[in-house]
Amino acid sequence: MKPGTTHDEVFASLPALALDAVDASERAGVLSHVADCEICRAELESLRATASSLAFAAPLAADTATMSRGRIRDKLTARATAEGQARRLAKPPLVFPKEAVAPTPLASRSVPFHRVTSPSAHPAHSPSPSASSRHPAEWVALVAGILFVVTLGALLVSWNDRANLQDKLVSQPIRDMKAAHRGDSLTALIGSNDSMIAGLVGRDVTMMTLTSRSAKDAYARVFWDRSRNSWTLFARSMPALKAGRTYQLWIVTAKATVSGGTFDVVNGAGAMRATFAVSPDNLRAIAITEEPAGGVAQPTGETILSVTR
Amino acid sequence: LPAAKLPAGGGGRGTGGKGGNGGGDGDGAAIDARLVRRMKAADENALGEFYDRWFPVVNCLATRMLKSAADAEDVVEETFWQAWRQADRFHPERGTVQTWLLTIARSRVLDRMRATKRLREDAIDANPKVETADFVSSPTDPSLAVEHAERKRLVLAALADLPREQREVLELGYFGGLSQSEIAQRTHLPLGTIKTRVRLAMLKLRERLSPLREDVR
Repeated sequence: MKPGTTHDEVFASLPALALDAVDASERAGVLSHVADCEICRAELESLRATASSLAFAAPLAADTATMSRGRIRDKLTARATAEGQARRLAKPPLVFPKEAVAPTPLASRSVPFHRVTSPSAHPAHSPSPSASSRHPAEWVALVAGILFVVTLGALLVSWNDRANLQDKLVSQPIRDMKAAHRGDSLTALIGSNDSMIAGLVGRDVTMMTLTSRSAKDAYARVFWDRSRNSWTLFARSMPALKAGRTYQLWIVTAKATVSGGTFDVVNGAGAMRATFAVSPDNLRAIAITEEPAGGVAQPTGETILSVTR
Repeated sequence: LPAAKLPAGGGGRGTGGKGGNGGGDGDGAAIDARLVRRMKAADENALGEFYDRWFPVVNCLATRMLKSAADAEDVVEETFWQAWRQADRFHPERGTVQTWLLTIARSRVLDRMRATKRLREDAIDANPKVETADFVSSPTDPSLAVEHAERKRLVLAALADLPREQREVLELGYFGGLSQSEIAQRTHLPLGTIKTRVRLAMLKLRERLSPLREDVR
């Protein structure tokens, strides 16, 4: 729309805008006016309602009542459920522990022997004998003693400072390392969450629902990200495991049965991720069996959940 | 994969008895608004119920515009996913759920069309047939099917009332995703003529659909 376009000109173009048929060169100008004009905004909303009604004029799609309906619904609800679970999992205690931000207690560092100062200010002995009554040898011994105490004090102060300095030198890299580790962990956590979400909602993700004949309510959903070869599993209502037992995920291909890893459940719920490359043409089934803790090379236990392709 | 589940919790239009005159549309709008509120609160069941209500319309629109069931399936999923993710952006005071959802759907379709460069080339149906029973066989809720069929009948009747040249520009603009300049180029008519036809067609259509608009409000 040209500069200086009037309200009436914009108003006249609103029917086309409601259809998204305004040319790109005019669109920004029209939208700019509409943003500031209540009359035009109301008119546009009304016309958009009219335009949206045109959708009802579309002829019935051939597959409206067929499989695509259920397939899309299943994917959507699974994505929404997975997103909810991912959100809950992505709520780690991001608050740093108190010791990580507390000030280093350098200010409270004590320095022993700081009272050892000038011998003249604080005579070593009291009451001191009169100067006139001392033998010269005693004077030498007294001075030597005072010097010894002062030197010893200075040495101890120096040693203490050195020890504190050494402590600082040793502990600072550890603190730095811990801080860096916390940073790395946080970065890794964010990266992991991003990766997990991508593994659930990416364009190349196929969702499969594993069901059971034996355990009625148990089910699991496996999200297979074909572009990343990642497998993310969420299991629900799983039977409780006996001590020393675990659940193990199996990826069955045309050539082999490969372990996807083991997982345990809490209150019937479990989750895990695995990375394994398989061609879509070769994938035959996904299964979960109950196995000895630690897992086994090939399935030996009862199949709890499975899905075939 | 397991078959699609019916909405849990008796959401939808459980009261029934709406008849076929579209008089229940107001109720339908309230149900839609309630479902969107539940979606905003991350209620996954609400997404399923919402999908059940609107899948037929969105799917028909996408299929009509894209001419490809596979592309339409992707777009339908993207549409409802966007609705789920952006439920908090819906404001009832700014329009109905129908307008909001179908605007999302059409935007996703246009994105897909631009990406695939597959603008509609086929001839315009000059005499659209008035269909009333198409939706009856598709949605899971019979009363909803009747409601959609009634809307469809009204819209097709309103379109049939328009002069052919006005209906043509509407179809090229809405279903073909063409701009006014592209319509002018396609029809070998001056741009000013196309602008006038678009404006008159939309205003007449709005007038003829006013009972429907009042119902869905």
